[in-house]
Parts: sequence; C-alpha cells; structure tokens
Amino acid sequence: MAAFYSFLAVLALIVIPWLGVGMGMGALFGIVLPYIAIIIFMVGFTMRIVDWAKSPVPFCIPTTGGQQKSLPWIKNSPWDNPYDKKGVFMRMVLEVLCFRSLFRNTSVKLQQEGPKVGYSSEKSLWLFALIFHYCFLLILVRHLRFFMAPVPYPVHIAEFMDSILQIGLPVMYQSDVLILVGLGFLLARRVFDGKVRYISLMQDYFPLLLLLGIVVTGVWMRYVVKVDVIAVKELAMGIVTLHPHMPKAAIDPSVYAHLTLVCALFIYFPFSKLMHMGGVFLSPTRVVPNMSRRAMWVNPWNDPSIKPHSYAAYEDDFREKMIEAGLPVDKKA
Amino acid sequence: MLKLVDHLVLEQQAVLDAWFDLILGTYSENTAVLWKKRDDPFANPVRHRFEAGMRGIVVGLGTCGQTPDVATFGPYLDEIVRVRAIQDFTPSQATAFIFLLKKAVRETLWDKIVEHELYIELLALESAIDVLALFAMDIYCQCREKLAALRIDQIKKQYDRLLKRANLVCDLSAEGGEEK
Amino acid sequence: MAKYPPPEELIKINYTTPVKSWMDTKTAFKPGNFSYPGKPEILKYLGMPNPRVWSPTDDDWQLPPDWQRIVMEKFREKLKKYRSFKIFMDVCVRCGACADKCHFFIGGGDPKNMPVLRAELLRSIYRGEFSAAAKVLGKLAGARKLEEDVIKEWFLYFYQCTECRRCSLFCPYGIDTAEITMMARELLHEVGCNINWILEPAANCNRTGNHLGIQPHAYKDMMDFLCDDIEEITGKRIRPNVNKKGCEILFITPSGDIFADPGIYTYMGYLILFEHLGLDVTWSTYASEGGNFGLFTSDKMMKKLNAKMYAEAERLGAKWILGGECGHMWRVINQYMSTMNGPADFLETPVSPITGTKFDAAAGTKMLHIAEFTADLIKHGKLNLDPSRNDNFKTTFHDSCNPARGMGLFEEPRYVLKNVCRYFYEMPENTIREQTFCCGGGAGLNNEEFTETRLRGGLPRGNAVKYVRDRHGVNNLACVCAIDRATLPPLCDYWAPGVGVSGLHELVGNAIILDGEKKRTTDLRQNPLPGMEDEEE
Repeated sequence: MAAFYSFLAVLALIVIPWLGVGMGMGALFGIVLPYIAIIIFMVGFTMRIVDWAKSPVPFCIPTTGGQQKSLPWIKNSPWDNPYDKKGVFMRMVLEVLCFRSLFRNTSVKLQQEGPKVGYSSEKSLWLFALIFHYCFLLILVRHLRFFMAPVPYPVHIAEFMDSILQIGLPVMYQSDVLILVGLGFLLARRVFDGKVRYISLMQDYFPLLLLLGIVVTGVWMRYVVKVDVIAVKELAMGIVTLHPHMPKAAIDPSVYAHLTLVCALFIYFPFSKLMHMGGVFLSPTRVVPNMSRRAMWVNPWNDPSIKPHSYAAYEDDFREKMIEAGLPVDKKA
Repeated sequence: MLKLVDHLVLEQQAVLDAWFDLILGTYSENTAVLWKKRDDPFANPVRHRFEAGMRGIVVGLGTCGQTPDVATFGPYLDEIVRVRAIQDFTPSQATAFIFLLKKAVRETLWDKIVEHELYIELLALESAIDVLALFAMDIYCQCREKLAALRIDQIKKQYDRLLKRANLVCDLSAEGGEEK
Repeated sequence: MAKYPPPEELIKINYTTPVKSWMDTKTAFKPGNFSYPGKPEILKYLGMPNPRVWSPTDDDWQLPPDWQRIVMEKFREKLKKYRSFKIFMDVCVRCGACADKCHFFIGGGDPKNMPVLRAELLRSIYRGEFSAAAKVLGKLAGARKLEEDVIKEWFLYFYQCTECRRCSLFCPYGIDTAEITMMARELLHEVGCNINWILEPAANCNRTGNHLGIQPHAYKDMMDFLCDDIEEITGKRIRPNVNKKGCEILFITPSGDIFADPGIYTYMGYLILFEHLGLDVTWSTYASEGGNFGLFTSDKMMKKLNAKMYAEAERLGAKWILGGECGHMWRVINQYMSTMNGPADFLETPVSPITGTKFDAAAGTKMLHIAEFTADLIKHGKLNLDPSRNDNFKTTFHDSCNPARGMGLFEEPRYVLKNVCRYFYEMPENTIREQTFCCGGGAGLNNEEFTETRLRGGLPRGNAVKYVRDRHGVNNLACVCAIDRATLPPLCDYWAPGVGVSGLHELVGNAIILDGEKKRTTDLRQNPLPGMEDEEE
C-alpha cells in the first residue's frame, strides 16, 4: 500500500509538469520551482544540521569495534576503536566512503558444510548500496557541465571515465545502468524480502521511486528523445547566473518532468531520512573517540547537585554492626 | 525393488526442504525469511539446529526398521524440540512439527508411492513418525522441567550462601558424612 | 496427485501469524516473557513516580491521569538533552542491516525484537507527535498516537533489550539501540512502569553499597568465609583490608561475586592475587558494588550510584582505584564516570606498584581494569604461575558485551587466560570480540521470571559454546562479567550441557603459587586437581 501510494506520488510529479508545460507553464516548472527547491533545500538542510550540531553530546559513547589502546605491547585497532581525532577521521572515512559497518558481516565457513555460493544478503546490501551511492555521486558531478562554463576539467574526466566502454550513440554512461541496477535492487529488497517489507514505510519507498523516476526520465531524455542539450544548458546557466530566462529553442517536456522530480527530491530531502547524509557525520557512536577514561569528557547539563548516599549516613545506619564486625568507623558510637 | 524408506533416503533433500518450509510456516512471515537464509550456523543457529536434527531424523527413518528407538532419534529430536520448547509455543504446537514430516513425505514421494504401490510401507513409516511424536513430547517435557529447575536454582543460588552464613541452615557437607 | 486424508492428522494448529502491520499486532504478556514490575515501596524509597501494585497482565495499568502529557514532556526533554537520541530518531533508513543481529530475534523470531523495529516503537510516536506531515499520513508514514497499548508495547520490548549494542556495530549510522532503550525506559519511569529486578538492586546499592542489601558486617563475614576456604585449599590465611584508610589502592568489584556461585571463586582469585603481590589494597563495604544498576534506570541514578566510588576513594585516601571483572560497571567507568563525577583530581594516574607501569589509558578516571593490571604483571614475569593446575579446564572465552563494544577490552583477558590455562580455544569469530553475543541477562534482565525468554536470546551464544564443546571438548566458559557468571551457567546447562562458567581471576587464583602454601590438592571449587583425584579420599 505504502509502495503504491509512493508510486502514484512520483507518477503525479511526472505527469503534472508534462501537462503543465504543454499549457505554457514552462517558466513555472523551469525557473520558479527550481529556485523554490534550492532555497528550501539549502535552508532546510542547514537548519537540520545546525539543530543536530547544537544538541549536546553529554556522554562519550562510541561503539568500539576493536581492541582499545591500553598497554604498549598490545596491538590496538586505531580505526575501529579510535582513541584520538586522527583515528576518528579514518573511522569516518571508512564508514562514509566504504560503508565499513555494512561490510562488517563476516561469515565463517565450516569444514563439515558443503561449498557455499554467492553473497550473503548483508554483503549484497553493502554492494548495491555502494553502487547506488557512487553512481549517484558520479552523475551529480557529470551534471555540473550544465551549470558551469567553461566546464571544469574533473567533470570532463568523470564523463570520460563513465563512458569509457563506448557503447551506443549517444555514448552510454555506465553509471546510468549501474544506478538502475542499484536502485532496482534496493527497491526489490523492500518489496520481496518479507523482513525488510515488514519494516518499510512510505518514506522508504518514496525516495527510491523518486530517484528511479529521475533516472528513468534522464535516460529517456538522453537516449530516446535526445533533447536539445544546448537549450537545456541555456536554461540551467540562466538559473545559476541569476538571470533566469526561457531558452528560445523548445525543450522537450520530459526535461521539465526530470527537473520537477529533482526539485521534489531537493524539497523532500531536509525533511526525510535522506538526511542520513548529514547525520552520519554527527552520530555520537561513530564520530567520538574512545577517550573518556583517558581524559575528561564534559557534559554541558551535568547536574552537580546529585550526590551519592553519603558514607556518613551509611555509617550511621550500620555503625554498631560495623564495630562489632571489627570494621573501622569514622565516628565512635 | 526400492522400498519407500530407500526413496526417502535418496530424495532426502527434497523431503527436507518441504518439511523445513512447513515448519517455517509455523512462524511469522518475516521470521521465516530470516531463518530460511542459508547463513553460517553461528549467525543463524535456529536453521542450523533444525537442519541437523531434521536430516538425522529422515536418514534415521531410512535405517531404523519397524520401530524407532530413543537412543537414535533422541539427540536429533532434541536439536529441534529444545529450541521450540522456549519459543512461546503451547506443548502441542511445539511438538507438532513432527507430523508435518508426514505431509512432506506424502507431497514429495506421492508419485513414487503410487507408481510402486508402497501404501503399506507408507502406513508403517507414518506409524514410525507417530512414535517420534511421543519421543518429542518426552523431550519437550524434559526441556520444560529443565527450565523450571533452572529458575529454582537461580533463586536458590541467590540466597543459599546467605542462609548458610546466617547459620539458618545446617551445612552437612562441612561436617563430613555420618558413615565415616 | 491423488487425494488422501490430511497427514497432519488431527492437529489443526493455527500458526500462521496474520500478515498485518506491526502496529496492529497487540502485545501479549505471557509468563516468561516479562519481568515483574517494581514494588511500590521500592519506588517510594527511590522517589519515583506512580508507585502502585500492578501486573503487566492487568488490563488497566493504572497510569497517572495525564500520562500522555508526562511522557511527551519527557520525550521532548530527552531530545533536547541528547544529540544521539535526536539523530537516532531521524536518520534511520530502515535498511535492515541490524535486523538479524539481535540475539532475542535470532533465537525467538519475534519481529519486534529486530533492533530497527524496537526503535520504530519509539520513532512512530516521535513522528506522530512531532512531524506534521507524518501526522496527516498516519500509519503509511509510520506514525501513530500515544495510547495505552503503546506503553504496554514499550514495556515489553524495551525490557527485552539487553543494551548489548551488537546492532549498533552493524548500523551504517551507528544507531545504538542501547541508547534508545535507555531513553524509552526513562519515559516509562515517568508513568511508573518499570521492573523490580532493576529498582530493588538500585535501591540496595544506594543504601548498603551492594545490590542484595547485604549489611557491612555480613559482607565482612562472607569475606572471612571465603578466606576460610582459601586457607583450607592453600594452607595460607589471608587477612584482607576492609574500609582501611591510607592504602594505595581501593579495589571495587561487583557484589554478586561475594556470595553467588561461581562468582565467589573469582572473588577468591582476587584475594589470592593481592596476597601473592603483597598489594597495599583495601576493599570497601560502602562502595562494595561495582556494577551500576543506574545504567538501566536513568542517568541520574547512574550518576548517584557511581559517585560512591570516588567518594570512597577520597575518604580512604587511596591513590587510584582498581576495578574487578564486570560488564556494565566497565561501560560506566569507561564512558560515563569521569563525565558524571570527575575530574577526580585527588587521585593519581594508576601505576602498578609491582612493575612500575604507568597506565595512561586510565589517566582520566584513575581507574584500572584488573585484566589490564594482571596482564601487565604476567608480561613482566611477576606472577609465580602453575597453569597445569587448570588442566581440568578446557576453556573458551566469552567477551562480555560492554567491555567489548563499550571499551574494547579483548586482548588483555586473552593474554591472561593463555598464561594461566594450557587449553584455550576460541569460539567462531563472528560470535566473539566486537561481534560477541549477549548472555541474554544484561541491562537488568537477569531475573528468574524472565528465564524462558533469556534462554531464547541465549541460543546464539549457547550454539557457539556447543560448537567448541563438541569440537574441542571445551568444558569451561571464562568471562569477565558478574552478570555473565550468573546468566551463563543456566544458559550452558540448557544449550551446551557439560560446560561450566568461571571468571578470569578464578583461573588466575588456581594457577598462582603463593609463597609458603601447602601442596594444593584441589582447585578453588574444591574439586581435585589433575592427578590428585586419589588424595582427596
């Protein structure tokens, strides 16, 4: 049900601009909406991050994934159990760039068992999540050519590498295929794996379908309709240079559908689980070194008025019995 | 000519798969998904224990003759019953999995049974499975008794030494046996 | 296929769980799946709200009249106080990586024991109350209203979490269910829903210094009793210092070890070790509990109970504190102690008086783990050891959750173990070290009424133990946690009969050769040593 509603929502986001542009509302979808989306995204994203960053981390609670640094002759794991900022930096690099925690699932093979085939499902989650995220990044970088003149060198490199197989005309980007594979897998998991379906909500299906919509309209534009790239770039440059205007040459409605979906993503982003992009950098179990035995970690709302049940009160309670048992006491009876 | 039990051993994998699916049907859907995974035995101990036990039972039925004995089947049944005994099942639910083997056998081997007219052997096999159900009941009870004993032990351990220290109980072991 | 009568015979068992959303599944309390609620007199002593006699199986839980407002107010307060809580409520993508990492889910299969769903129990209210969009979309967006059934659900499932943090290790964002469980339990406290096995020990720790409420003279008495046993075994009389001022070191260990099997043997191990070294150390009856039941209750209670350690060290004028084998105690010491009650400037960074090693790792809290201390001694050859005295044991090692994932204590106990035992075998690698499986009794669930569910959750650990038992003939499971020592014996008894449980320092105590001791014929449990079976008679 949740998946179906999400699908309808995405479909609407494609159909509305498609029809709207036909009715001469190109400027609304090509200029006004993108500005709104960018503003909401930037303000929303910043506010969420600031809100998180401002919340205190009262305690130093890293999840330690390896040997602590204790005695000099015991080898510690500086990245899985960092004791300083350098270690945390490496831990975060591994986490963010390699999805270290998702990769963690080791599986042991036993001699008495037969040969095993294929990835266990955890590893497949790691693999396809990694594929999706990297393709998404690559595609974002490639799109910079629409927003920059002259196009910077790294963007050219990204394009070149992405189309290195030289298949088809226009040349096919591998990332387009791979991102479909990645998204397809992530969606299929949600739909077909009973365990994951059970925990999935509308806000899990919607972004996946939204991204799929973006990729599919993008692929459609590039490989099927073969839209006028010059005109699209004119529109895009107009937006980034703050001189927005509609290009003279007509642009295929699929471009507006693509653009609207992207805007929807931008608007949706700050209010959704997609904020995990920012949240991972602030997660107290990961970005904090395991140092609270070594040095002081300060809790801003520490309440100094909380005192232990005092020894004096304890001794008052049990003094006679303590004396009888030969235990030393501070005050004589 | 092959007997029914020979077919059972030859096609044990198919029977086991069918049986396992039926047993998983007794759990909720998403739980079944987890336990179905052919994961390593330490990440997924339930499947591992069930598989080991079920295979032992099926192979055992192939060789046990007319009457199954506890010595052979006890350990295999234990693998499964011990788990189900603490999984929120009623006694009948916990031990009913054994009857599902009948269904698995009929579904998997029915063609063979019809082809070779093995009906009488089927009756014998099903009787043997009935016996296993009784064994399973015994094991179930042992497990529940164990559970009760563990709870009592825990309470005893908590206060045992305190009672001794308070000289509220007589400690015979410290005095030595009477017969000495 | 020809027709035949249904082979399932007469059983018409309706097993199939209806495929409906988890929000529509009602919580069922059955004997064995919940712990008994806090007694009113204990709640009153601790000054906690809504003391009353009630049972989870009641229809009416007698919540205070404006309980919704109370819970939501506390919810807001916690979100403001903890970034962890806010982020963990916000960033979960429900990828399912944690789903099959919880021992309760692996062994029992209740979907609400999947860490992600356990957190959703709270998240659904967070959305329903704090997010306008989710409020409109309702269940589709995983949002719901705070109703009495939700409180019941929280009570069941947040008291079926042992705060072991295994899921947190596998989460790509480090979402820590232990943190979420702690928050949820605090919300439940506000309306008087809590369990007695946490609160009564907490109250006892506060008043008497230990979780059973043993009074000081009785504590001393128990200690003498153990010294009697040591004298019987080794021929040497040990006279430990208790509450003595001016000693260099204050030693604090969980009180469970002073009177319950098999913890007492570990306790004897400590006594023998200190005697062997001639260590200038004192025990304390006021701070006789290392374990901190406040960790399972609230940050305030944790702080209050933990503060005794520093208070006692200051009163006695000790230079530093040595801590015994304990799980939660060490999470508190490593991650909370100095923040809550530090800095302890009246103490010094621990220096081993025997080897001169300065333990920089403990420079902040001034508190050293005994495994670190002993490993350093062995490394410097300061212990006179006869590991053959442990030849009756084929040992494996259980990493306790908190020293593992809240500290990273892996090599020190193993180094000690390998030096005091000759037969040591590891369990499979995805069940040890940082991936270790919980004993099922952490976070206050080590009570007798919860045994059935605990055994269910103990299956993954039990299964790994059984494996090394069958493969290597392992008959002893060593550990560095008092809760383990209470929980693992029944767990092993059920899942891997024939395997016993011991503390690390029990084995150390067996191996240490005291100066001038008599020829030992038995180990600390008074079982004959290898080759001494006949001399016992």
